[in-house]
Amino acid sequence: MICSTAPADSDSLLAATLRFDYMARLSALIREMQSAYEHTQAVEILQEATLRMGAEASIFASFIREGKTSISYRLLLACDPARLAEHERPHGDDLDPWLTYAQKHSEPVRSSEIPMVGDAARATVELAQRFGFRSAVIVPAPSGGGLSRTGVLCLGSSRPGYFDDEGYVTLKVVARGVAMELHEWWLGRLRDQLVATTGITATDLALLNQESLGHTTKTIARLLGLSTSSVDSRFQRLNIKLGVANRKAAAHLAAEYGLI
Amino acid sequence: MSDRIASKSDEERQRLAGDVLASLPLHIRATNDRQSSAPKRHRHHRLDYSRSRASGPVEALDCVAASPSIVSAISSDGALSFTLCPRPRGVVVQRSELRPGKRRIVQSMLFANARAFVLWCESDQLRFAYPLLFSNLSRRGRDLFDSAG
Repeated sequence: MICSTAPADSDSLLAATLRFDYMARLSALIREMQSAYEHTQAVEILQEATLRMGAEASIFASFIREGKTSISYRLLLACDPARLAEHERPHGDDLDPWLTYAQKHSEPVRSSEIPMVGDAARATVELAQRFGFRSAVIVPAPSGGGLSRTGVLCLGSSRPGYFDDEGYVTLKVVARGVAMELHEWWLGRLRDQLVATTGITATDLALLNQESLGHTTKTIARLLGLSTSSVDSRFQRLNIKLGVANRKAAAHLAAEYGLI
Repeated sequence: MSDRIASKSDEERQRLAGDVLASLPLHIRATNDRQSSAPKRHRHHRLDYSRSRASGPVEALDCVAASPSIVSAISSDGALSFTLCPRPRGVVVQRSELRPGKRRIVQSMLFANARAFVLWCESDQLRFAYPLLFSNLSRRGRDLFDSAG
């Protein structure tokens, strides 16, 4: 397995963060991440970044609400996948206290500092402890503007209290950078795929942008130099392309995917 | 400025095809399926995952080599799919599952050896719903590790 047997670079988090090249090695990886395209590369980079940060295991989870009822979770795993399967089955994703924390906060936190509400949440964390996350740091990668899309990087160690020493301050800084880069990378990839698959055009984006500003058909037509009937028919085609019921939902989807 | 932002070449689009459907928003995936095969009068029907699952998972497999080295496998009801891609450090596996309530979970992970991969296959609770899929997946995965030496 990749993670549970992967030794951390140092005996303590503080020792790992005091390495003279700690920041430089992580910066190099972050640069590499920016040029990665395939998810295969991202998995390898996450695995390497986890070790370089001084952790043993990690999961990067990305959450996006694609409509009123559709929800997607995308996970990059640098941990024992078999045990994760065991972890996720008994309880729903809504009960994962780490993901819940990331959806509401932007500050990195040790898992021991997150209050556990309910038996299901406690059981989920106990399972996580069994598969290599005996101590953990939760690093949210939030999105602004009231969007649902959220990323969270969970760094783990099989040693209790591993993240409690003074190295935590440095780790927080780099882990935030890694989490945000992963989140941006993933969103960019989804955006490219959405554009490639739906064949959305620059005019479509201009229309969606105007819609997100709350402009009426008349205003949009005037600003874009189109007729009102043309605006309406373009929105109808756009709704079909994006598989949504109306232009408001289309604009919301485009915003979630960072197109506008 | 070109009106068409999607300036990907056909080859690039083909290359993406393996995991694009797994990554797309559910309703867009449904839209594209609909546009390609459904009659026009059904255009406004949404993909109803629960309905498709209601008939029970169908044990069938479309396990093909998307390229000489990449293996894709999908259940016939489309609820579960896998992509296996050999890399220098092992095999990267992407597992995509559609769950009731229009929830999709996409996991990407790296397996360093065949044993870890087979153990993972054997711990997947959906193996009972799709035994043939998992049997073939394990075999193809082992083949990938074997061919990589």
